Amino acid sequence: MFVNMACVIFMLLMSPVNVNANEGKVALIAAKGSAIEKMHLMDIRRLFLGFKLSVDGAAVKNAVLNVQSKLLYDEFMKNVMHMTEGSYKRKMVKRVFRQGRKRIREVSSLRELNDHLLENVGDISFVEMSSIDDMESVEVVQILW
Amino acid sequence: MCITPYTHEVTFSYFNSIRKFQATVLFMVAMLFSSCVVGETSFNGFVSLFAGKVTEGNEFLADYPEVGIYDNDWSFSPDSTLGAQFSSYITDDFSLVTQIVVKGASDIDADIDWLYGNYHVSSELSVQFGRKRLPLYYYSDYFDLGYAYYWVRPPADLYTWQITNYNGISLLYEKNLGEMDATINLYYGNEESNNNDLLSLLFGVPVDECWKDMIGIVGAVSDERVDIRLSYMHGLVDRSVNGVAIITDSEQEFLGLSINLTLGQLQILSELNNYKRPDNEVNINSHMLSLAYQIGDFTPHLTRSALKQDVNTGGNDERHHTTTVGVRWDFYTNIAFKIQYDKVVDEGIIVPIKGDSNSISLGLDYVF
Repeated sequence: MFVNMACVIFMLLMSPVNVNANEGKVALIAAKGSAIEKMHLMDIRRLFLGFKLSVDGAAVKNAVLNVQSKLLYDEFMKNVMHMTEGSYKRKMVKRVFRQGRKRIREVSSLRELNDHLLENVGDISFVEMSSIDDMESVEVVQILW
Repeated sequence: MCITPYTHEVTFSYFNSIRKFQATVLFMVAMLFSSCVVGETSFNGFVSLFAGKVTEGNEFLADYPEVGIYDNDWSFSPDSTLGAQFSSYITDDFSLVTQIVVKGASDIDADIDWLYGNYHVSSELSVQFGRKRLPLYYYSDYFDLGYAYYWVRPPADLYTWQITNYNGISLLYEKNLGEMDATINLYYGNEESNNNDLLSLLFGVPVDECWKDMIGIVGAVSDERVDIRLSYMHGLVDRSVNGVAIITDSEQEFLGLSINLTLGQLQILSELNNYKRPDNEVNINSHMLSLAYQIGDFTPHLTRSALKQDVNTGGNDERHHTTTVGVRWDFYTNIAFKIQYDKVVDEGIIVPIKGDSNSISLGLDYVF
C-alpha cells in the first residue's frame, strides 16, 4: 500500500517535470532518415546565412526559417545568428542581390514546415521541442538551447 | 575609343551597347528560357522612391555616376530606383543572374547591372563570368540597393566614380576562419562608357571613357561585430573629349579600406579610399565616418564624408565634404522609411562641383 502510494506520488511529482523538461527548449530538426548529424553552431549559422556546407555536412542542403512565432524567431536570431532581425534581413538582401543567391525559405506554420521538410529531405529548420509531437516523420538533430 | 584586343572589343562592346529595349528583350528571353528549361528560378526586386530638394544653395549632386542632381524644386529623379533580379538555377552548381536597374537620374533608362553566369566549383569557390558591378568601394556592389544601408544613398563624396561596372571574369572564395567569415574576390575585366554621364557633365562636352585590363582583389573578414574589407584595383584608362583622345593607356590604381563595427545597438562605419593616375598627376583621397544607434525600429545616424584631390599642374582641385544626419525607420516588413539632411561644402575653386548646399530628402526603400 505504502509502495503504491509512493509510486503514485512519485509519478504525480515527476509528470509535470517531464512536461516542463521540454518547455523553452528549441531543437534543430530534419526529416527522418536524412542522416544529418549534430553540427557546430557556426555551421548552422552559416547555413542560415545561405552558405553551402562542405564535406562533413554533405547531407545538409538548405536552411528553412520558421517564422511561425515572432518570439522564437527573435530568440533564434539572438542565440544562433548573433544579430538582430534587421541586421539579418539586410545581410541576406545583400547576398541575394550581390551574388544572386537564393533567399532563405520562410515558413509560417508547423504544417507547412513539416510538409517542406518531408518533400525536401536534407533541409533543416528549428522548432520548440514542445511542437515536435505535433509533427510527423521529423527527427531532432540537436538541441539548440 | 577603347583600344582593346579584338575579342574583347566584340564581347565588351556587346554588353556596353545593351540599353532600354534590348535589355527588356533580353530579360524576357531569359525569363522564358528559364521557365521552360531550368529546374528553379527566382525573382527578386527592390524599389527606392525618394523625393528631395535643396533648401539652401542651388544644386546638390546626390548621385555622381548617374548625375542625379537636386535643385530648389522637389524632385523624385535623383534617388529613385527600380531594380529587378532574375536568377535561374540551372543545376545545383550553375546559375544565371540578371539584374536590371531603372533609375530616375538616368531618364528612366534601363541599365544592366548584372548579367553573369555563376558556377560553384566547390562549396567555397565559385567563378562568375559576364557583367557585374565593379567592387571598388564598400557599397559598390549594392549601391542601388537602398534597403541594405541606413542612408538615402551612400555618401556621395566617396562614390564619385564614372565607371560602375565591368565585363569579365571573377573568382569568389568564401572560407570560415574560426568564428569569422572570410571572402576573397579576384576579378579581371573592362568597361567602356560612351558619352559618360558624369565626365560629360564635368567637362561640358561629350566624353568617352574606357577602363580596361582592370585586375582587382577584394578581401573581407567579418563576424557579428567586426567587418573589415580591403580593395585594390589596377587598370588602364582611355579617354576622349569631344572625339579627341586626351588619355591613352594611362595607369590607374584604387585602394580602399573599410572597417565597420557593430557594438550592440551602436554601428560605426568607416571608409578610406585612394585613387591615383600617376601619368596625369591625379591623386584623390576620400574618407567617411558614420555613427548610428538603433532604437527599436529607428536608426538615427550621423555621417561625415570628404573628398580631396591634390592640386596638379592642370589646376584640378576638386575638394568637398558633407555632413549628413538622418533617420531610418523600419516600420513594416521589408520596407524602410528614411529622411536625411545633407550639408555640402564645396571648396573647389578651379574645379567646383555644384557649390555649397543644404538639402533634404525622404522616401521609402522596399525589397520584394
